[in-house]
Amino acid sequence: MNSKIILESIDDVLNRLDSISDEELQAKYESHKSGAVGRVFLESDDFFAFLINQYVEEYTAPVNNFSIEYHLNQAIDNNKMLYNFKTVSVINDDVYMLAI
Amino acid sequence: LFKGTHGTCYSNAESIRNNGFRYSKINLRGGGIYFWGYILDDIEVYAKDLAIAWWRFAKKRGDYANAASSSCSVIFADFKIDNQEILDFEDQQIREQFIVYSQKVYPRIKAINPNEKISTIYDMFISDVEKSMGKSFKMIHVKVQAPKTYNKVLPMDLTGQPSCYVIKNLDCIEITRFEEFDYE
Repeated sequence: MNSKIILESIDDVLNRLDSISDEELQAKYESHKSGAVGRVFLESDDFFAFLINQYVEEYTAPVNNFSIEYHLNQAIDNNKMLYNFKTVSVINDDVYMLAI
Repeated sequence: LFKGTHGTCYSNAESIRNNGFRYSKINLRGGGIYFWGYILDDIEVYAKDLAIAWWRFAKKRGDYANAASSSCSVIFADFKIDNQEILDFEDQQIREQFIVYSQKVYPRIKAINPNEKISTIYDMFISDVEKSMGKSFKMIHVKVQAPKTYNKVLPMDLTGQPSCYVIKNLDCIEITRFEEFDYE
């Protein structure tokens, strides 16, 4: 069921884990605890609904801020028109805003 | 086709019927919406019984103390998900890699609540893999203990632990029906 690419990605994660300090790891933990916001849906329709909809709660799930960058970049790579956007980093129960 | 059952109280089920599911941030295996998962229609009754047992367990724990109606509801759903969109913790290689990940992070993390720590480590692992892959998983498959309130029809040595689907992307949930029961 799980492809080779998933296993290779996990290997990559495990290798990088060794270079993370205890402080960085703890900070990573704190940012994920209680549901760190940051997961934006991959599908572009949902993504753009997210961008124009202020009710972020409906469109988020726990991941970290790297996912936001990834999804933004992917949307741009797909030739969707994003004029301006901003990110505001938050943790735990806060909500970060993305706006066009 | 992946299918699942979700046991809850009648009031919560009505809220889900009207507003859809809400993302749960902390749970046994990370954030998401939890279902008893199955593929074959012949397993539906087993999954329904697990959902009822979960409702019984949650009610006993006081989860529905403030609900207008705490009677039992089971929600049946299909999931529009491809195999590639699932992170399957029951794949032996993935489980072993997750154990290695846990060995590397668990002793180094300071946390007060042990359940929160476990849940968060699942979420950290999932988000790390997603970041590395550059894509998001819509569903997690993991085996969990049946609720203690579940009355086994078959010995656990035959069934193994039940499958649990943790839905990460609410859009893929297609509710097929609600069933209400008179249990109080």
